[in-house]
Amino acid sequence: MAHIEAVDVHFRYEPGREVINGVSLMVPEGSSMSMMGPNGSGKTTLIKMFNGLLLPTRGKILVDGVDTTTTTVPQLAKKVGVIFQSPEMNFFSETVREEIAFGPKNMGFAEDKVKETVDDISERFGLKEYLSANPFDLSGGEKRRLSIASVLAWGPEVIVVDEPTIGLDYQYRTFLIDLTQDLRARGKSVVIVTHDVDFALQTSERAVLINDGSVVWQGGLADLLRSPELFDRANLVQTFLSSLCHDLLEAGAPESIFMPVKLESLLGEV
Amino acid sequence: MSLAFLRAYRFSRRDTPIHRLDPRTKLLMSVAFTLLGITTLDPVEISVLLLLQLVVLWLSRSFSVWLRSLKALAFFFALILLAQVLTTGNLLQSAYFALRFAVVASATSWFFFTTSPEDMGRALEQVGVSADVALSFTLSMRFIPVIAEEFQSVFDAQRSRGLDVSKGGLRDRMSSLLPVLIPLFVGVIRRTYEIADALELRGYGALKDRTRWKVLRFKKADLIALLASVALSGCIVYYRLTMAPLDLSKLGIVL
Repeated sequence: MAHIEAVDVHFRYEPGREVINGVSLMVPEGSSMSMMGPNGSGKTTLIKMFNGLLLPTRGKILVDGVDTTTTTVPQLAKKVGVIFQSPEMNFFSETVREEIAFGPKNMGFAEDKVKETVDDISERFGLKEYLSANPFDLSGGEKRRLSIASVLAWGPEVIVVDEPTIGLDYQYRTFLIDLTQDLRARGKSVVIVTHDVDFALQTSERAVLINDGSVVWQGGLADLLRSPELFDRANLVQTFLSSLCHDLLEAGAPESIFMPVKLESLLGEV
Repeated sequence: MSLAFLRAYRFSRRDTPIHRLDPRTKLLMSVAFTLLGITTLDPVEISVLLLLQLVVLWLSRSFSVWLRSLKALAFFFALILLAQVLTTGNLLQSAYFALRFAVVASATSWFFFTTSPEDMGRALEQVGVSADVALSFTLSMRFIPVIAEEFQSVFDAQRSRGLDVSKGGLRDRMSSLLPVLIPLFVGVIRRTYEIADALELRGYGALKDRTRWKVLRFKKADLIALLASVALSGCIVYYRLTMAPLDLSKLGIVL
């Protein structure tokens, strides 16, 4: 069953200019998908429709079978957690504890459940020792971890991450790759919006290419790697990693290591 | 919830007779429309002022932007209309009150969407305001739409974390906006520091006597626009002083 299903979705901010133009796609349970396309192609607009922040002007979006036009953002947010660009810009609490607790409280968790959730998630994200600290006093990497923890806290089934690799150091990038694998192991669906092809290859099994508000291609990662011409259709740049994967596939490497790309397996194959 | 109405005041660069006017001329015209608008409740005057502004909007090719700006202000129109109906009980008078608001709002909006923030700063400097104050003004104007967009981003992010500002009474709703306002102000303060640093790094304030890259000069079109504004304002003032207010009951409109 699909967690999210977009059916012929259209959207415009102002009359006469469609930003999303007939998009249909599915986010199946427990899947990892990268939504790739150049800046201004409509990716962020599309994910804002996944939790009802924007409603389609035509077509429909179903979240666990429920039409987003028939429910509210807080209801949808319970199921779809969206981590926007530079999420550390949205801190407002005096302590890390309160910042993490904000979401679960809004979702109606009981007091003891909130406490339990904060303890659990802060442990997972290495923030336990900072629970009483001011979020603005954390280091850049800690702030990023806190911003993700504060969305994962209430346990949404689908996690959408918008351009997570902008301004990232290597350490945090590795952390995000591990996190997506961990989330999938927990049965969550992950949607990553990015124009970083390498990051998409390392975190996803499926890809959706978007350009000018339309889906130009969608399918398995191995199929994308086999057809480098698809990169041009979405204005994406071929990288060393994607070229290497393409060559390995052509040379008969098994598809399993490209769903998503595991660097260790890739090295073995090389 | 949205700050879309702030976009009503965003400058759009076009080559029209109104855009080409000196910002000081436009400011005087806008002030004249505003003053005449806020000091009247006469249906004829309000209609004439609105008509004159429609001419300005037509000349500046800003009609559709103006309509959008009015749409963005719909909430305020409704509020004024409701408050007037509740206090006076007179629907037509309340409608003219709301229309007067449209006249005043339009006088400011066409000025802002035909005058660039830089030109406003230049105008201030040339009327003797210090360069620092003029620059602050220019930057503030330039950042209004940016802050509106930032508000929307933070608001969307907090709603995605379950924030619901539609619950409870007015006080609850106001306090539920804190998770939006705090990050917004933190962002604005951070941005002001960044801009100050960027300005200094590019040599702002290094010279005591600043030279001007572009000097504003009144042209023939400015003279015509100013004379027309003075003449029309004079006519309206003359009408106001000599004519009795329009008696609607004589037109068969009884409330």
